[in-house]
Amino acid sequence: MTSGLTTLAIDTAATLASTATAAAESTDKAGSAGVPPSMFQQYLTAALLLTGSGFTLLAGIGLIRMPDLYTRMQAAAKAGTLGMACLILSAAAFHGTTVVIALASLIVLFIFLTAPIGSHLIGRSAYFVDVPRWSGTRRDDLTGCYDWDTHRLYPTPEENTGRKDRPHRMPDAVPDAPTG
Amino acid sequence: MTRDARTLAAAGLSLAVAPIALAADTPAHPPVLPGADVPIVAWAMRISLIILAVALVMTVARVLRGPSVPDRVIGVDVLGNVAAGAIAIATISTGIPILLAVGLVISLIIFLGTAAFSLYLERRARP
Repeated sequence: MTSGLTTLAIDTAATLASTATAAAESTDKAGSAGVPPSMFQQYLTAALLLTGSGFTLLAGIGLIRMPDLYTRMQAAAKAGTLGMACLILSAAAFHGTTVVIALASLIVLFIFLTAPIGSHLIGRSAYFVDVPRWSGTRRDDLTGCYDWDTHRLYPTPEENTGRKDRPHRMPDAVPDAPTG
Repeated sequence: MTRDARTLAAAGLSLAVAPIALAADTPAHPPVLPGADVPIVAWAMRISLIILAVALVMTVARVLRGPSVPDRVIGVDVLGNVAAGAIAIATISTGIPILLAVGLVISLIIFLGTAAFSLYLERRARP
């Protein structure tokens, strides 16, 4: 374990040093040859680039076209995260060294951990501050489940021992057409 | 020594290992060819940068227009995603792989901003 970490750290340092020398060489003589990636790496990089930017474009379209916050949120969280992960993995596929793959995997793992948490947090606070819902929303499963004094969530309205009604009414009829 | 202190010590130690390893004199890898010199990757980069620009315009429109504060917050969230993706493309284009750490920092800051904003909004809504 320790030796593996040490090897990784030394590999990182070597990559840093090599990038420094590569930058210096490229400033010295333009077009100095480096190691080209293999054909499979090139095609994989191109495919991941196009996939990632396509999913990011889907996130943008969802952000513009979705009717209310709660639907926009899921477009941003899912499509945006997947697009960014594909773009970062394309960098890993292009370079192909251990350090870059480790760093890219770390970033992707971090995104996949934090994006749902952030999305959930912002959706929860939006429910508390009365962000209006789309008029096509059929039902709200959370009605009566929150104690509005302590903001604690109960599984069913019957188990809720606190204040069941909102301090201020939630407007649930907003214009049908998306504002974007 | 409590458990939190041990966790903090481990995190600080792991942060300190990288500069120490950087200072160590190690043999260098051969330099990487910049992706702008590889034709297939260069064309894919051009197309995906154009697509990313369109997504960026849509996201900025939502941030500017968003009727409520949480709308703007998720818009900024997607802006951070687009920025990190563009940094990944810059990593390929220049052949400097350590730029990926910038993407890591951007995603970290964006997550902290989202969490802070949601906590602030919820505290403001509490009677």
